Amino acid sequence: MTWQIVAAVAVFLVAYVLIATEKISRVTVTLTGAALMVLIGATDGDGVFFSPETGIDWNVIFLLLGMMIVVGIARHSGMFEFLAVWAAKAARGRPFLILALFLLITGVVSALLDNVTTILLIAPVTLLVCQRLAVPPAPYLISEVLASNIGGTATLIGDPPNLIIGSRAGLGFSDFLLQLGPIIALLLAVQVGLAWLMFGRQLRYDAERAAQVMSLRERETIRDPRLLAMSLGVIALVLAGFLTSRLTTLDPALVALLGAGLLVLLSRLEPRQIFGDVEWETLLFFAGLFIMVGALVNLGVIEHLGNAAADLIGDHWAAGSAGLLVGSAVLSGIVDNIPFVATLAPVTQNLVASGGPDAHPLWWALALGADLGGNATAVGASANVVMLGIAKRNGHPISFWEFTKYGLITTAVTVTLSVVYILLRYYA
Amino acid sequence: MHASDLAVELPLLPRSSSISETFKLIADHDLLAVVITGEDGRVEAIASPVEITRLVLPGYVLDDLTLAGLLDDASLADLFAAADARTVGDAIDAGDLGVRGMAEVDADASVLETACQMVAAKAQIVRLREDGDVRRFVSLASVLDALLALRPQNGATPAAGEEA
Repeated sequence: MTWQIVAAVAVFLVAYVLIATEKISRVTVTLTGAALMVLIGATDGDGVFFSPETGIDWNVIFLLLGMMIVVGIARHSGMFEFLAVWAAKAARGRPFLILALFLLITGVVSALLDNVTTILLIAPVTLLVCQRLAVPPAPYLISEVLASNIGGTATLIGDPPNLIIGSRAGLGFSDFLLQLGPIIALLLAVQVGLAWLMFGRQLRYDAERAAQVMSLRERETIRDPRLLAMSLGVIALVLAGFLTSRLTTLDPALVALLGAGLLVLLSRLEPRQIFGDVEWETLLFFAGLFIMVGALVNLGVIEHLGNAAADLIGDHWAAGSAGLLVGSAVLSGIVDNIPFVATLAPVTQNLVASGGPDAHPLWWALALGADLGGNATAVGASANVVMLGIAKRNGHPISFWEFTKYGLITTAVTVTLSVVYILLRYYA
Repeated sequence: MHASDLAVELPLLPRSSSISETFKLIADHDLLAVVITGEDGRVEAIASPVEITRLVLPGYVLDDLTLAGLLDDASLADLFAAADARTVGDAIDAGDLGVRGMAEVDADASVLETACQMVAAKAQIVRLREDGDVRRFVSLASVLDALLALRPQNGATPAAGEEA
């Protein structure tokens, strides 16, 4: 083992700990880590910018950028708030029915948007409806964030780990939807049942309060009908582009960028307003992370890990998939699932290359484990942290343990069902 | 003329005052801000009308302005009930109010320098940076008055040492 490998692994592990403890901003950590990797010679300019194996994954960066622009413009249209108020009125102000509808809306929307954005859209309108109903908002907010992490698993763009997996494995939007869509639909239905068991008794119907919900006028949320129509049209085009990307040979990143360009052109919003919603820090975080992981790939560390995993699994791919799913879920509940998947994706790529078709379900096991594991604790996913912040700011603090209690139950059930799904669908 | 010549003291309120009381005091007297003091008399926060109004309005609407159109007069009962129950001290402890964030100006700053600082900070009022526990402030209205008073008449230039 050379000094470079020792130094690179040390930089990587320290960066991982710093990201997990959140003492320093994660973008600062990954960019510093990336710089150190370059300085110790673990990677170079060509490796960073031009290598598909060891460099920045531009497909992920530009897919994220395109979707951030589309969503950043579409969120000003008020369509999500309209949908939520409409659902609350369709439920005739019945608290649990509203919770179930909000949960399902969140699950479906988060398959198309990133989870944090979904929570930023659904949480405020949830607080408004809860205030009208005079019910505690915690059951609603917790159910929604759990649903967003479940729903986001269903598509290529629903959760950032899926973007990394999709790019590494060459999997598209329809691959994710066809392979993971059925189990995610089942898990969302199961989560409605779990929500009834966990929160049903806390939610009491009050006819007078329900009338206050019925008096809400959802049309008031639509301030710019032209923007709404354009946003809906472009989102539909982008989804069609994702679904037909094999046919058109347009990469998902290009589809997202074309959609973003079209919406920028049509919306005629100020550039500062459009690009102000782009999370530049997240994009830089991804870039730094890819450089750090690429350095380990370059030095052969990832190949070594892959070989060790292959020796451990042998020909037992079913057990390997189940183990990867459960292990990923446990670790993703503790550490950020983005760096976790960025590290595991090249390892999984080696395993799938050596194991052939039998090993291919490892990708789905990794996606399910990493995405669903984020529900286990209050810090398991960025959306959880954002939701806790909104709840606290609005005078309804939810403690770490209150969230984790419900999160652990949900994770245990969803991960168990996912293991059964993987075994039945691919190995029975 | 300097910023310190325009300075005024603001009404003091104890941290035990409710948000509603503070809101009413500001509204009744058209105040630009009030100073919140702790039990030991130290300044703990400076609350402007915008900040106090923000504490009365529902935070979720400020997070998502699309929802503002859904609020009607029926919402006021719930909002003021919450504002009655919460004190400015609670808001300070939660980090919703404080002394940080308010623009400051040196006591010996000229009136023009003070005006520049206030425009840059888009502030109606600034704290005077002095020794000790700061509780003197300069309002934009007094700065405008001072600028008009100092304006040379009929093209006359100000005498040496008579700075704006």
